[in-house]
Amino acid sequence: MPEIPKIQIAGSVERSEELRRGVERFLERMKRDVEEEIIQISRNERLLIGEGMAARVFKFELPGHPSPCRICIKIWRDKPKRESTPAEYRKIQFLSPDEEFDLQDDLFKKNCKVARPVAFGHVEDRLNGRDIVRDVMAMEEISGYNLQEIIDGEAKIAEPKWSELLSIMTRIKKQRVVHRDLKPSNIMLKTDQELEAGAELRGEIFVIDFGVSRRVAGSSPDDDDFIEKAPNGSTIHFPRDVDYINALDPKQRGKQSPFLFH
Amino acid sequence: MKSPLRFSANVLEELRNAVRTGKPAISTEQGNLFMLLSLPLGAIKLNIPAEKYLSYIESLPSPLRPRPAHLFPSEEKDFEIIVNAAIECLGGKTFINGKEVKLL
Repeated sequence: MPEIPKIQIAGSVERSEELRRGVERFLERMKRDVEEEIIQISRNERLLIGEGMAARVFKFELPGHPSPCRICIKIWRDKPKRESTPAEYRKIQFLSPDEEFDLQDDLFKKNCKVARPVAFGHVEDRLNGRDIVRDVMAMEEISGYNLQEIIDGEAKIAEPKWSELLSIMTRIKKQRVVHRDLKPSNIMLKTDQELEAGAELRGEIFVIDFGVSRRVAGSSPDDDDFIEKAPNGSTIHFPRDVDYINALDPKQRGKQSPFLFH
Repeated sequence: MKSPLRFSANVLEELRNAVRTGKPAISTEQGNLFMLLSLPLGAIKLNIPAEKYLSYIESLPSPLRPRPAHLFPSEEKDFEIIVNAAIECLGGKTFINGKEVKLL
């Protein structure tokens, strides 16, 4: 067997090593680039489209291209907006952000009307001299109004009917998930129409924010699925999903419902 | 190779379908670029090792080099790179967010 010149072997090894270093440099730059982009978004109040105790949601701009789908970024706070006990925090973020992302992904794949999750990550940031890690979720933006905005704006939803909301929650329940925070601000109407007093809005209903959801064992959730133990041993009671939905029924609530009574 | 983001199962499935059944937007010796219609995302199926491709990207002159945040190495068997950006192909050139870049 002919002897392989040592120079060639050294050259191959050097080339592999160079490739490996090149990849490592790229990955490091990618990580920093992603972090810088997220940090810039989180500092830009102009892009803020929603916020709660646990997280804030920002519009993600795609300059120069009419994308068929708009994306938003949910960035969890490193600590809740107000001081809260562990029990209070559990009421606003029961699932970890990772779990929330996966649960929302499962529901989307089963054709439930939820915002389409796209990607999830942890990014490093520096705040007030502290190094922190933020959880970030990119998802499809549901452009329109939440039901609380529609109620406050004195408009009505002409289409779909209230029964569509019931169908959506039935489908979610079939996936053995309870939402547990179905307040009007967590239900969106996707529409291009302007929100003004007296408007009859038409669009599609979506359910958002699964931060206090949980997966349940049975196909029919019972009262136990709406009770949790806080780390300090106290009991947290979540309202049942069906109670929230019924509170929006125009037959029961009349003018107080955001849905038109057909 | 680990990336700072993980993509959802529903997105990965759509990218896989695009690569398996779609027509590439760009096809070169290095690989093929497939784009989604429903999301500002694409996938690159490479004909060369991923390490060589990333090295090529790093070697591009700065005006044409895509941002690192737009290219995510993937461990999927149908494609090696996820392009996390809205891509336009016009006249044989590729644009991300209105700026010309080289992807393949």
